[in-house]
Amino acid sequence: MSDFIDDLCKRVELAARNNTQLRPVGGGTKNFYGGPLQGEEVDMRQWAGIVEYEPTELVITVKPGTPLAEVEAALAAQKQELAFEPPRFGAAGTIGGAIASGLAGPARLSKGGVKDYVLGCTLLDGKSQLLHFGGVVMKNVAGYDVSRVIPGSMGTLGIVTELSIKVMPVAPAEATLQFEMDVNKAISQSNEWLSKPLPISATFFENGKLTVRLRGASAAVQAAIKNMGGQEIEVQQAQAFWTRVRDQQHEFFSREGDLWRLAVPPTTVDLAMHGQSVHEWGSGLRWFRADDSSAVNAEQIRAMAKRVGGHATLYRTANEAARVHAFQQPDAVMLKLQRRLKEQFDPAGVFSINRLSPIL
Amino acid sequence: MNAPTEDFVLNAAQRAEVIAGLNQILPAHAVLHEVEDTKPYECDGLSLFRQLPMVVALPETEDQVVQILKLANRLNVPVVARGAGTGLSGGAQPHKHGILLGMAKFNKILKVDVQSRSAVVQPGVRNLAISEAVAQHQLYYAPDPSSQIACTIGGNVAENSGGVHCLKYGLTVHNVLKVRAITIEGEIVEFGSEAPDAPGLELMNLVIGSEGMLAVVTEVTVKLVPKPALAQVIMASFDDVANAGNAVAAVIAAGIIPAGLEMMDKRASQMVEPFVKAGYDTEAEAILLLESDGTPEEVAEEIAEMTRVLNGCGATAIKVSQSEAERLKFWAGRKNAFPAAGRVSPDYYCMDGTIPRRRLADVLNAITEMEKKYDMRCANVFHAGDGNLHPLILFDANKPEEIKRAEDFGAEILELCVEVGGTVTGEHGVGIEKINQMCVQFSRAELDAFFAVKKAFDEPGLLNPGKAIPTLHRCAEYGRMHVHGGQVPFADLPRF
Repeated sequence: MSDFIDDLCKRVELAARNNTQLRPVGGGTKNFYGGPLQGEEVDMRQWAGIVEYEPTELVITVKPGTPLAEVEAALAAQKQELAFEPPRFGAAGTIGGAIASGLAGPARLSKGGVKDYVLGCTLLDGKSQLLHFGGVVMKNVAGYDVSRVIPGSMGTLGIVTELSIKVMPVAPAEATLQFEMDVNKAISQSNEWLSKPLPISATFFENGKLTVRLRGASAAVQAAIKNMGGQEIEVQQAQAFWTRVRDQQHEFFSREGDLWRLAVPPTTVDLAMHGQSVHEWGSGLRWFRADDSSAVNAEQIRAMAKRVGGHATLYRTANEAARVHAFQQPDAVMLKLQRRLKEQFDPAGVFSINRLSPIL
Repeated sequence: MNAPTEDFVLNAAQRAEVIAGLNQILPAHAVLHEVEDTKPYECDGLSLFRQLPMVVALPETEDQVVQILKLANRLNVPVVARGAGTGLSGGAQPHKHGILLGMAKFNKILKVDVQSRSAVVQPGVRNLAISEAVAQHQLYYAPDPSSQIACTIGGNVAENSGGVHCLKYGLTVHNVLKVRAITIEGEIVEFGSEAPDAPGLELMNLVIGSEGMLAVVTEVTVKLVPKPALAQVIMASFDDVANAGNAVAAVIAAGIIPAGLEMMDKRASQMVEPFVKAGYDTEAEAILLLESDGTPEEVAEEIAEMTRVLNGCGATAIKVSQSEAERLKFWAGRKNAFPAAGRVSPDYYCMDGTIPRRRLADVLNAITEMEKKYDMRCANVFHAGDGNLHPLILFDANKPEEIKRAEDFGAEILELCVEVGGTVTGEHGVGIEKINQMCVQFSRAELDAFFAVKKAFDEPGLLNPGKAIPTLHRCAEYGRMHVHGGQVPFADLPRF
């Protein structure tokens, strides 16, 4: 075993014994996200590198501290990509952070989320044991699929020391179309298109304008352009636009005030809240910013999201105290199961306490 | 062959108490405890393993399931849930002192939402019935295990079933949005969401593929996919298995993810052809089936590109389906490989290992050597796109000695899969069948972590006990070593 992992095991053991906490961190670009930061930092950037990448197997195995940009460059050289299009919040971002946060970009609509691409991992648990789950193959039903619970777990189950991720070929063709329509028309129109065999890769709605990205075989993209109409955006301009959306550099994201992330069933009609909002993922993801943050009642937002079958996250806020409840609380039975699972992997409460929920 | 069931034992009085309890929850015709009534439930698709249940309960409402689980929890009685019983790993094999919970009456499609491309179905709904019900809207449910005519969605969730199209369209876990289930404590819980994600830890990913050991599923919300306008299949022949394997890698290296990518070896195609008359090249050492789907323009583009790649890899013959009837005929051969095995041999034993694709030729050669060692024939069908290998070992169960030899042969194949960096089961599940091989694939600490997951959901360990995860005792008895990532003792010794 390497010195780094050896030391890590000792730190976990010590923390468990002394009742202290650890918080694995990569580039720290997502420190704003989730519950408050608690515990001693474990700098994972020292544990970096591509362990194995065989393009024809569609799998890359990496150490979590590897810069996301390095992983994506290696894949791009083989005309492959991380299909869930993880956002980059700065050059320091790591693959470990991208997976642990579970955040996906515009292509989530067509390609699925982070959990759909994690094939295996090695996890250092709260008893300081290195556990291998899943593997490097596409199909694997031996044992419970623990590696697919890692995305979005925010480091609460342990420290991931290796990840195997399914990768996909880059689509040969791409085009972006823009349409003028109101919000409810955009919701119904995008879902109507999505129920047809069209190569729709991503959608973004803002202020009476629906932007749709097509990706696929060139024949399919060309046929869809003809079929759907709208105004085609010039390629470079369109790519810059989608990068801004992916990395939340789009102007909407830099405005003042609390930013809410609502995940809802995509066909839900406009929630008509007082403020500005933009939609992604065929309107399954809705970003919301209140006109007047001080007048916003978090409980009301959450109740509304829940009523329609979704949930709301206080995604970005200047109010540190409010971060304790960044994520919506699941129902009681679900909460009990999540807490029990956490206790099994981390009985002493070492890892990323409070980052996902005040009880995890 | 019986599974060890000494973990939970009930005496006659306790048995009577369970049956009386069930009779209070269910009408008399839904509680079966006479041998002639329980006999049909003694095994699933893996008929080598048989065990009569103590009692069969056939609920038809969610509330009845809640009451049954509460009863089982109170009386400390094991519960094994069962769908259509098509599973191939003995996952639904009853417990001698337990309740067999037949979910077949949960057979309604509750809601189809065309606009959001989803359907809410009960667990006893057959896989193919979903696609049939939504065909009028040009939608379908993508995972298509070979048994899709009969297998149920509840069983698919339990096993994380795949199919021939899962390279492009994913497994059950990629095509289910929400699972509603009952815990052993009788509590209703919903995993996942119709929204893109759910708050906190995404436990749905643990429940899918958990072989009925974490909760009992009562409702599943599945994702529906738009039906492609056209699909065409290429059938390519190779005079060498290694060339066929290389061709698979080359297609993927060319940036193509075919809708289906299957391989059959010579014995498999020779076995199938007289039965199905699919037009297979029975002289080829291996044949590949590659499907392209999409718009007609897209399919034409992809078929041309795949043909170019296959020719470059030494394909000796290439045939492209020219009609929907011909496409289905090409697939019929592959989908009937298992029944064909049953036709040429009194019995067959189907293995389910997954390997990194690049090790295919090595593994097939090693299997050929094992045929000599065990003096038994083996035909190989392969989900080549996903690296999921199904060797079919042909034997005669009327000769007890052959059963043992077939099992040892199968075990050696699975252990080889682990050794080359793969897994003992790609899609059929561990069940009772591959429980020993789990000792080879996982360390004690990892197996304990699985028990810990189980404990988080099912503290008393009543849901499908004795399956999927071997105890320390069982591994010690089996006596094989754990290997990880090819790190076996004397790893340098050639083993092929």
